[in-house]
Amino acid sequence: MECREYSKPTTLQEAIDALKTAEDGVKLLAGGTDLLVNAREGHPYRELTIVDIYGLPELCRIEEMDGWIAIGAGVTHTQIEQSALIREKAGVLADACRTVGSPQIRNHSTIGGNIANASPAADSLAALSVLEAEVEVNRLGEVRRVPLGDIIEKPYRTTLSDRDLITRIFVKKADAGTQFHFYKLGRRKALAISRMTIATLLKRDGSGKVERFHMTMGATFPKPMLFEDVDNMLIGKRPTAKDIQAVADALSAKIPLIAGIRPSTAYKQPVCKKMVERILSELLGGQ
Amino acid sequence: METLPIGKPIERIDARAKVTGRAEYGADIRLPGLLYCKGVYAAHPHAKLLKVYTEEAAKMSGVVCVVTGADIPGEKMFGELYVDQYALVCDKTRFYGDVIAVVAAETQEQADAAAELVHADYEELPILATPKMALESDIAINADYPDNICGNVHVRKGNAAAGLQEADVIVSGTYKTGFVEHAYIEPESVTVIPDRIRRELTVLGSAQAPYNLRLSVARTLNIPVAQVIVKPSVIGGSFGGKIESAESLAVRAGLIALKTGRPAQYTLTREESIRESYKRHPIDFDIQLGAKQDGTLVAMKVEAIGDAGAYINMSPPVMYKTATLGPGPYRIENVDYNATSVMTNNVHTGSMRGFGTPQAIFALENAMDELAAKLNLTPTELRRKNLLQNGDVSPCGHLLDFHEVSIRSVMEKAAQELGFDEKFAQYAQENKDGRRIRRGVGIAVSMRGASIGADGNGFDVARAFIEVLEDGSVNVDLGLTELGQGLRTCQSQMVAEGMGVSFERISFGNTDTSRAPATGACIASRSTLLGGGALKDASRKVHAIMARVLERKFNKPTDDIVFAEDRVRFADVDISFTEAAKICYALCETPIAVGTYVVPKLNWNEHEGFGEPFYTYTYSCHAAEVSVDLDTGSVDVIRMVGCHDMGRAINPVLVKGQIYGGLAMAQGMALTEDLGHNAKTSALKNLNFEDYLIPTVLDVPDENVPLLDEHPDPRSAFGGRSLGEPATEPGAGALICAINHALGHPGLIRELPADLDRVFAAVRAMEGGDA
Ligand SMILES: Cc1cc2nc3c(=O)[nH]c(=O)nc-3n(C[C@H](O)[C@H](O)[C@H](O)COP(=O)(O)OP(=O)(O)OC[C@H]3O[C@@H](n4cnc5c(N)ncnc54)[C@H](O)[C@@H]3O)c2cc1C
Repeated sequence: MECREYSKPTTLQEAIDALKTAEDGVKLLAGGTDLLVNAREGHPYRELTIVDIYGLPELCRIEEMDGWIAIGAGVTHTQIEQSALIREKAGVLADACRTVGSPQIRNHSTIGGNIANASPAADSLAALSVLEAEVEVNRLGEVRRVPLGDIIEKPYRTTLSDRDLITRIFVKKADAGTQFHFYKLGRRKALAISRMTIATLLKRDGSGKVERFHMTMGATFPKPMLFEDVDNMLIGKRPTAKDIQAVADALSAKIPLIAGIRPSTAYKQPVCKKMVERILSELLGGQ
Repeated sequence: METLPIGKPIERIDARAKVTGRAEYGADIRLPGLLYCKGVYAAHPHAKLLKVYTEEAAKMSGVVCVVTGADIPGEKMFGELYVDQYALVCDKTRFYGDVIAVVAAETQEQADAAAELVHADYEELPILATPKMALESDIAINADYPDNICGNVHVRKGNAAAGLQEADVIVSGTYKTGFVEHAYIEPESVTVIPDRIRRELTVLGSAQAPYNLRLSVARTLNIPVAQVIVKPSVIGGSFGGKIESAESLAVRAGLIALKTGRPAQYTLTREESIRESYKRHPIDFDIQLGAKQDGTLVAMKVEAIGDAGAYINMSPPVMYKTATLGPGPYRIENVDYNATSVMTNNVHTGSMRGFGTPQAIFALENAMDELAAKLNLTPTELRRKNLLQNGDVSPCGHLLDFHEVSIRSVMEKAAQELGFDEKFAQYAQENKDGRRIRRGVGIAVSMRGASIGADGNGFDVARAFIEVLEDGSVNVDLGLTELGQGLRTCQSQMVAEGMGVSFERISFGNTDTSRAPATGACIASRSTLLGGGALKDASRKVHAIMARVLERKFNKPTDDIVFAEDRVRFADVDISFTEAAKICYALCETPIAVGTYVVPKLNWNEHEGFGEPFYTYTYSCHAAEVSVDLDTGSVDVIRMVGCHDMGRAINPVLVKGQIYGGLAMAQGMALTEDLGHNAKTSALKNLNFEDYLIPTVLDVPDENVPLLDEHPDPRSAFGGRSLGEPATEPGAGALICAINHALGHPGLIRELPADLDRVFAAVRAMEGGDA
């Protein structure tokens, strides 16, 4: 890979210092599974300083904090997939990360990179959405926390400046008894770019009434999205087959509404409807 | 027989070197002074090339030389049967994979950077991106073929039109396949080393057909054939793909080696490899099949149009196999099979495992299932009624009375292993209950001609060199290449049997055209049959020399001499093979011979498309079980079974390896592999394995089963026929039959690949609009 300068800080502070002192453009390098692939086409990083943040200890932790789980931006998909904490309290993310690429890719690529690359097909995004994820960003020492949807502007474009470093991703811990579901539709069983993902989080009380519900698609919209109107359709109800159908209709109707009518709509909209129906029926016990 | 090496699962001789990384592939080669090459591709797929600007590139740091077509000293074009391919374009560009210049530099990075600065003036011509456009256009891609038709084979037996009239039931319709990439693990890499003394080039790297390659280099670079020495490196898969593709690299790198006096290496990236290497032919089939009410086939009429792409390459012989083997292993009186290849501005198409038949078997076997449904028969019932048996005449008119025509038992074995008949009934029943994930089974059969066939009447020859050394070890030089299929191990087993010595004595030389006599290429499922024949002949000749020497030494008759189990026995003499070898050298004799095997001339009437198209056949059946999700169009392969009669398995483990691989390759062709061809611009979108989807280890079922149904072939020296191509031939057909069974509509899916969108669209059409 061609670049103007390369540095490999060993602490977060050093990384921030490197970002401070770098002249002109900077590019962060994490696992490189997007970056190094991009580098093969043209010379995108020839004029940039590369700051290699892979393995910075501050970015590699998974911790519980109040109602949240804080996941370091440098945590790999494999680590997420294998984290007992995430599997229990945010299982949909573990399931999503398990579908990324192949073992070799998952062992090396990071959640921070998956977000910052902002591919609409990034597999973590829909799962992060239903977990109401927030992203912690450090800009030259100043820390802020932003909802995931505000980080990604459109395909392959974030709202981050080149001095912004994602340090952690916060996902809401789910209560015991919460059901998770992650579905990935690809053209093959591994190393497949998603055609569509569907992430679901569903919590019912003892009587079967829905307390919490989020369901959304990935690889479908220009950025991660949750739909309050759709999610509200089940809240407070003991959903019937009709309710399921209504959610399926409403969610799949978002595709032309938000993404516009494209050649893929004729495929994606009906598939989305059928799969939402199937997933909810399964979660709700064969409605 | 049992103690002999043939039929034993001997460990392949290159296994350890390959799995430990010690094996040296083309791109691993490093030499002092090595130059690295980079090609510049045509910016337009069809354009007059007016001027190429190389000056800027030549000035870049590290650049040693830039060449264009004008620098080629000899003939500008190469090709084996049809000399029409340009390693470097001269007059006009014909497809996006044409190369207009090559830069050579001290490092690959320098070559890559400089290549970006080469540009050219073009005068654009209309792009003929489909056979239909090319047939309708008055522009010729190759002036020698004014209607753009570059090949036609028309098989005729009986009277198909009359036969169709007599039929009680007819199915007719179209089937269609796409471009398929070989997808060998190793992209092409060729290194050319100039000799320091004379105008001589040594070519290393991924060359499937070294003798073709040396002719192409000799022709274009004006060097005597003997001064082009080709020594293929360890090759990482080929499947027919590293013939002309490697030749154009060798011509380009050879030109640079001659100009600079330095070795030059030319390695393609994956994107470049997919862009310029030829593909499997996309073929459109228009098929009519007629049967009597009882299921007896009476007539078959097929029009097949193959896309040859920008160069003729192997299109005419590919059409030969489509037309002669496309009718399948059936007893059928009236056949009219017309296969035509049409030149376009698409990527050229050529040799690929199966060579025009996996497409044809896909079309035929799905039409057979349509017919079965109309006749109220199951797929196996219809096939049982019509499969060939001993003494039958093949669809092309070949009387099959010379070996076991085993297709019936081959099919039964595969069907039984899969549980075809029970599952066919069970799934048809359970799929009626409205479930959205349905299962289905499919079965497809084929007969594959061994070697080139009558299309190569008179020139289908192999030669092998065997040398017994004074310690009783045996050196073999054979020009058939090891491509990863295990050829060197299998051929060594045949030599051991032929010479009557143990496997360990055999040293199988790396292919080297300056040592091994010209032998044709390792193509066309010919190496076991042809290599075996040549090795047997060489063994006989060496034995004769040794017998003569021993007769002189012992002064005893050797009429009853037997070479077996490392012993030599005649009269009352019983000595070790080693001792016999020593005696030869002590008496200054030469136990060395070249063996030759030529396929006997076949009685094929080319004009009437009738007769004996091949010398012998391999019989194959693939059975597949799938599940199809009606709500997404996704297809899951549950299990495939491949049963083959390849005569005799020289090495059963390697044979099974071929079958496992063939099933996986068929799955890719059937379900996911799509080059993203643009029918307007002729461009290919999917140039690497992120986009061109071959099945992964998770997609191919662990439960796949290879089965052998061996009937040693009297027409083969060691009883074996080849299996390279048959191993993948019926697979795509079986899978699509299975999907169509799951969907409850034989013939519903008619186009490959049956990917998510295509299956989903078919389901929607079937279910009527809003699914
Ligand atoms: C063969 C292959 C298969 C793949 N399959 C999948 C798949 O199935 N699903 C999927 O979602 N993805 C897939 N990917 C894409 C890729 O692996 C993921 O997007 C991965 O999560 C990127 O992480 P990384 O650490 O490698 O990022 P990098 O490549 O290092 O970086 C990606 C981008 O993020 C920026 N970045 C990285 N870390 C930070 C940070 N902390 N703060 C701010 N910006 C940052 C970089 O500057 C860069 O722009 C695949 C990639 C390959 C090569």
